[in-house]
Amino acid sequence: MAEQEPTRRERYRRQTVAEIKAAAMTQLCEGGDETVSLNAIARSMAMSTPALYRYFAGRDELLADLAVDVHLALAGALEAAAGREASSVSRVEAVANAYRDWALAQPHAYHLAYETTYGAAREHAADRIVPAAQRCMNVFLGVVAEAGEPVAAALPAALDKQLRRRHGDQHRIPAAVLHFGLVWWSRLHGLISLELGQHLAATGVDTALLYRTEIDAMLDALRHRCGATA
Amino acid sequence: MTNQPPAVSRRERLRAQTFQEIEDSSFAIIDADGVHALTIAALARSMAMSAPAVYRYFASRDALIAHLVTVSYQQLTTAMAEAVEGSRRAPRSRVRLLVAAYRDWALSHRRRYGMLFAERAGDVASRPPGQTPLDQAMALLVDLLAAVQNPAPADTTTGDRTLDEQLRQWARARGRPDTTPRAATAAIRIWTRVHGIVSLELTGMFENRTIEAQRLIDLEIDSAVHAMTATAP
Repeated sequence: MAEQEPTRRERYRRQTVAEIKAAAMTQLCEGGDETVSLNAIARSMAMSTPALYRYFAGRDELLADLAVDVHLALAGALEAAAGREASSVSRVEAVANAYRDWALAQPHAYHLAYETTYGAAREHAADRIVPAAQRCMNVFLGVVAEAGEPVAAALPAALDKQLRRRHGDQHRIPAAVLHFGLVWWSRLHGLISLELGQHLAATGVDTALLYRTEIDAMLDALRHRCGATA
Repeated sequence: MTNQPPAVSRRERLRAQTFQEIEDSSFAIIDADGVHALTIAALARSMAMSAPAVYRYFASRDALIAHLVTVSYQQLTTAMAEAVEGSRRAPRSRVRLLVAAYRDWALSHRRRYGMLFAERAGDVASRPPGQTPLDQAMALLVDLLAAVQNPAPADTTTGDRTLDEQLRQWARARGRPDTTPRAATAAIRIWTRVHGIVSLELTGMFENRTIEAQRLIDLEIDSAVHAMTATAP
């Protein structure tokens, strides 16, 4: 049975939501989440602000929706980067490089998805944002798993247990791969985040070089199949 | 008794008191709702003051936030320094204490940490090169790492010449020319990696709390120390 054709009213609603989100994303990319203003969006769409509230209960709800989109867009960019490489190790490298390139090209969007500590997104879209963020992580875990399972010997027993409990059996990803993925994801994120905030600029050390040497260390660890923190 | 310095006038005392109240009220707003909620109007409302009266203390919202950022950095570095002050434990344990204090401060001041590290540092250009607000804390870390590395291994380079040179320049600019490139890089790695973990933890990426961030951090310190002291880089 074919999906029922949405009513005119419903089509209009979806279109308006898409327009609101596009306007908000433009504001976000230009000035960061602080500059996203429902009043300004309403003005730019020739709507009244109360009318806009019929689509989004508030600014936090709107930002939560944007954060979901940002995670999905990043996941798409990482998948595309992985797809361009032939060897498994170069896929890991490509994903890591694409991660930084994407963040540098969209610093405000990256910031909204990864560093907004006021928890708005989590309160308003927890059911969608966790799977969306997980999709990025899964791209990374996927290429790491393909490149060969890091030895689990380097993994402390307690952490191994925690990782198993966290991910359960649903993904059937070995704990060593999970640990490797988690550790390297947070390392790359830490570096990108401080670079975006220009906190490393004052050291005079080239952040691209720092990032490259981290990636080299990660690939070495993969080639030698050692644990994540070796 | 003609040269006696004038006592602080009542007016100045009141001014200092109001200044402190502005600081406290601003932090209360940030801690509750984040830095985006801090406007001069909201601050004035919360203090039952008029906005023009607030502007007599801070010329703009940016000036107010710049002040709060400076104060927050001081709080963070003080917390870190106090964690290791007078400690007689081995340098490696003190590195752990120092870093644990960093995470503790971040967890108990989540939104202030966000203000410091999740926002773009606006006035980088105005800072003298080699100076970061965290310099004092980084100096503590570098000194501890130098003590861990004592005696230094035969090869103290990172294996990348350009990086070595930049790290040496950084060490010189900070008045610690003896810092080896490997100790300097270990300090930077510990900072970026710990920030990565703390930042993901604050954003809720370790949501269901079964993964202990502190355990991940301790492993990162061990790994950075190992890379620093190993015979081959």
